[in-house]
Amino acid sequence: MTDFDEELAQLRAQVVVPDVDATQRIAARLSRSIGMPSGGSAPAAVQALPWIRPLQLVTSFVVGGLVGAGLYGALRAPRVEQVYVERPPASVQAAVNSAGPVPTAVPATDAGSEAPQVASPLLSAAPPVARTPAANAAGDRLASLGEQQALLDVARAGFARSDYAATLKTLAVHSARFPTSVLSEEREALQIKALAASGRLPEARILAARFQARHPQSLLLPSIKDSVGTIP
Amino acid sequence: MSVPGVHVDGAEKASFSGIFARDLGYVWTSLRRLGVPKRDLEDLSHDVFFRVYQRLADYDPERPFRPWLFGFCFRVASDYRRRFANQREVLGAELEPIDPSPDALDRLVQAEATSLAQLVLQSLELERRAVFVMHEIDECPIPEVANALGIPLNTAYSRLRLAREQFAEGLRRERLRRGER
Repeated sequence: MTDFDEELAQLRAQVVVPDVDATQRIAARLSRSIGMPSGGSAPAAVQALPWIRPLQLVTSFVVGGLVGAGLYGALRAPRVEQVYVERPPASVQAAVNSAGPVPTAVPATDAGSEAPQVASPLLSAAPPVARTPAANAAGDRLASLGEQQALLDVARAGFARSDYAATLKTLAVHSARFPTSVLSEEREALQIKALAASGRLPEARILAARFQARHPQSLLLPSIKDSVGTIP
Repeated sequence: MSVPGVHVDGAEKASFSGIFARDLGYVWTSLRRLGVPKRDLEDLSHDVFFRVYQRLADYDPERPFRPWLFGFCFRVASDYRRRFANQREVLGAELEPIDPSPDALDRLVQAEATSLAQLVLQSLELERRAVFVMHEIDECPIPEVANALGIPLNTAYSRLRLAREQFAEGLRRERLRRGER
């Protein structure tokens, strides 16, 4: 091994990490600035770092647990189970596979409207499937957020491999199953990008205009504008 | 600090917390390698994660995450150096005045280096150092490096070559200076 390689190996081995207090302070600042749940974050960070000394590890669990529990109790922030999905659950994939055709644009029926209306289950006011509002609400409440996220992950994966038909189909399933999902903003943004990328720009622009009206401050707006060019 | 207009939902919070827990050590180490002195690591780590949060929707899950994350570290470190160079804050008489010379930050960081390799690494110019760190230390392929830093592929190769030469020469000079060999 040359001197050069030896020094590189040293550099690779020289890892510096924040101490427990610094980790807690950064987590607390992020909690204030973006609303990241602070309870449990810091201990998790330390747990993920194998080079932390055992004493620090134990301390981090104790201190982090107490601080996290205190903040949780004080702020009453909604606690969301953290779910990592490597691949979609069978039920999610089955739902996608059994879904109907991709939503398409239909001619406008309103004489006063010049632009085509988009028959989108994602942005339409009424749910696309025959479910009562009460059932929808109850279903959404009961549905696991992890399942919603997993379904969106399937759509994102389809988008990443340029399979826009599959993406739109998955998003339609998501919309049908979770019409009032907390992830609806992300879902709508992905639908617009998928439409635009698949060449269906007129539909994408109409949906983009609606999205902009509904979420004028959304962080997703710049990327939507990039994908559709101009929002009417 | 509040962020007007930021839509935050439960799933984003959960996944972002996971990123923070998993990668805070990596961000901290990367900022250090990019020449951020210890006293400012906490602030800048926060800034990195704050920016990551703002751009999380842009992340392409088909690409490796850490090079994308390193891109934020590089931009935050770069902005920091610019701010430091232009710092003209008037401090109270009881505080230690800021050294206004342009290489004051480099001297501060080099003084904190705990090894010859760290010392020489801190002597590389930031753009070259970023490519060097990503490729030689994080072992990231050059195309990913170029993509993460937003530079052409040839530029990445060129910066890597120059950084290697500068690093090797720096090691040689520093050893001579120390009379090691």
